[in-house]
Amino acid sequence: MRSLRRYLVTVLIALFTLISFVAALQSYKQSAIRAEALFDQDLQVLASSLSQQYQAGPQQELGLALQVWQQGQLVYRSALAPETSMSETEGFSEHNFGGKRWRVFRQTPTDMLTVIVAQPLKQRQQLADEVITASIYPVVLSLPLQAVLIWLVVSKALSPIKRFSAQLSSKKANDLSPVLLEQVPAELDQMLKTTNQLFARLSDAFDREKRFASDVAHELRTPLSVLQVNLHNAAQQWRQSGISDPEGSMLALQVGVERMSALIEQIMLLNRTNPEHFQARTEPLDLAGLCRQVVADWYPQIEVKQQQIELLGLEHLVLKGDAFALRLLVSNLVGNASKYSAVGGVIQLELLTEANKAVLVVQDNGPGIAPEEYSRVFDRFYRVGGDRHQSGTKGSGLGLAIVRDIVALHQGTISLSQSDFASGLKVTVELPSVRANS
Amino acid sequence: MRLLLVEDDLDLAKGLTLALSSQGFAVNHVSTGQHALSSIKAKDCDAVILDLGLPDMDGLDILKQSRQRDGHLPVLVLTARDGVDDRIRGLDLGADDYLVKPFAMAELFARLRVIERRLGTAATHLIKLQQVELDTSSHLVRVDGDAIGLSRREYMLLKELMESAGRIKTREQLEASLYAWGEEVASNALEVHISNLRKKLPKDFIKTLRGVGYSVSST
Repeated sequence: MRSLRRYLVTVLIALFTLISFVAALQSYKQSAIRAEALFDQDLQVLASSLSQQYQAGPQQELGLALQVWQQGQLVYRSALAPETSMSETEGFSEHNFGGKRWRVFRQTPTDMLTVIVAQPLKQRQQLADEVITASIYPVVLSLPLQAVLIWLVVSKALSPIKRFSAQLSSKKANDLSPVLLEQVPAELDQMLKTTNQLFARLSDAFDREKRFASDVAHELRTPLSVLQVNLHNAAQQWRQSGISDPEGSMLALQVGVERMSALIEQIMLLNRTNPEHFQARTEPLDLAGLCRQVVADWYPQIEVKQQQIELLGLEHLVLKGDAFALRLLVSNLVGNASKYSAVGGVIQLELLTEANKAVLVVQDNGPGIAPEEYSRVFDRFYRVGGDRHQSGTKGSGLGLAIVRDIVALHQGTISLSQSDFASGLKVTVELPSVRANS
Repeated sequence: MRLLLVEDDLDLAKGLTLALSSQGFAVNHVSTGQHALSSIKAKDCDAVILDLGLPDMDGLDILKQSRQRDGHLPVLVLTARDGVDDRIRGLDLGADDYLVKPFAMAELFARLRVIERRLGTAATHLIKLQQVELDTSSHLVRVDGDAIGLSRREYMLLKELMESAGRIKTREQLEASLYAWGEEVASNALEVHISNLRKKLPKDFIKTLRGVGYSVSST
């Protein structure tokens, strides 16, 4: 199908011509048969009237009325003809007698002789109807056939458009790959090309946006490292030269640089786990093993704060998820628990299944979060108590926003509540599609 | 320990050299991949700190080539890239450790000390933590100078734990080691070995992190 227009015009004209031709042929045949019958009837009438005239045959009802007048005397009339003259006008005329309307033909070949022939109008119409019907009905019969064929042809012609729109509507929100269609008609081809160009441009724009945040953070990393290293060296030199830091300016600088580093890290992670950008690679994984790895990663910091950490519940919990994202989720929760809990605090992770859902509970005995702040802590850059958190820890305000995004990516839910300890926060994450557990 | 610092950012290299020197490391700084490769070839370093973003070549290529030349040279990769794929590729190609910029100096020192300890162990065959001394050449373990008898598996588990002192070894990691030594791992095999090991070692030498794994303190 090169061009939709050419295809439709050619196929439809060909179809119409063919069907009309067949129908016309059929009409011709049917009308011919009727006409033949009509002519045969005429022959019969003629024969019959001749035989009647010579009183040779039986009186036959042919539906015709006949009168023969000779010098004003009715010398012959057929059964249906009245005794009075059926018409006084030469040639064709219409008259009423015998309770019917008749078509009458009067001929006077000589002064002596007048012949009048009449036929009931109804009968004539019936005969005409038969001929006309015979010629019309093939055309009428062909109409449904034509309708079906038109429907088929148009459906076939429009099928690329249907496939095109089906492909478009089946696309996921973040799928900007081009639409692939084979055997596209010329009219749709341009549309397809333009749509795909649009997709390509959009995809480029998305990539650029994604890369921009990533590039900015990336470009900031080396200078931040320079700051960190040189701050470390400067602090070292101050200490060695016995310079005290009563204003705490060196410490403040170090804390500031650390915060900036953490912030950049979180911005990059947020950018990566943003549902609009994130191409999750889901695979079966053991959430328990993943929790153990995360705890192992955090262990040096946890040990420095002499905190207790334990993982209770299931030893293996297999579910389908993105390993990178889920690890980040657990890492942010464990990191928060350690950061906001005091020295010697307790951190507890628990894994269980509930109604085909994997449940991870992370709780600590830190200061916790006031219930009225529960909904706000998931907002980007929102930090409990502003910049004066009582733990003295300065977070980026992005950790829980990332957690929320990752939970959403996995169609899970997250909720906050009072921990089971005397104080502290309890985070409950529910993730669907548990494959198996042991 | 002699370190080869491969870093093209001069401010960072200068700061790092100073910081590392003050920690007692001997630092040789180069800023291109070519120089790095010739230094590695000349074997004038014990370990390499490698920045992946170099002007003349991809740091991962240097890693690959140095691995081919000397399989045992420890390489600590520094990078400004955070791609997980990069990380996996780096570790696949044989990086010993991986730090993403910006990193805390304490973290860098800690990782270097792990490498140093491993190198030291390789040289002296001795790991000593608290009262426990493990000799990797004679496979002997001494507590307060007295040799204790350990099964082969107990010895291997203790070596694993002592080599990464200060860090957690997760159940999976230790079980994987048991597998690697050809052991049929029953579900509680690890617990049994650790429990036996504990009886022969000072109290609380092996710390349990419930549900997570085990650890030996580095101090």
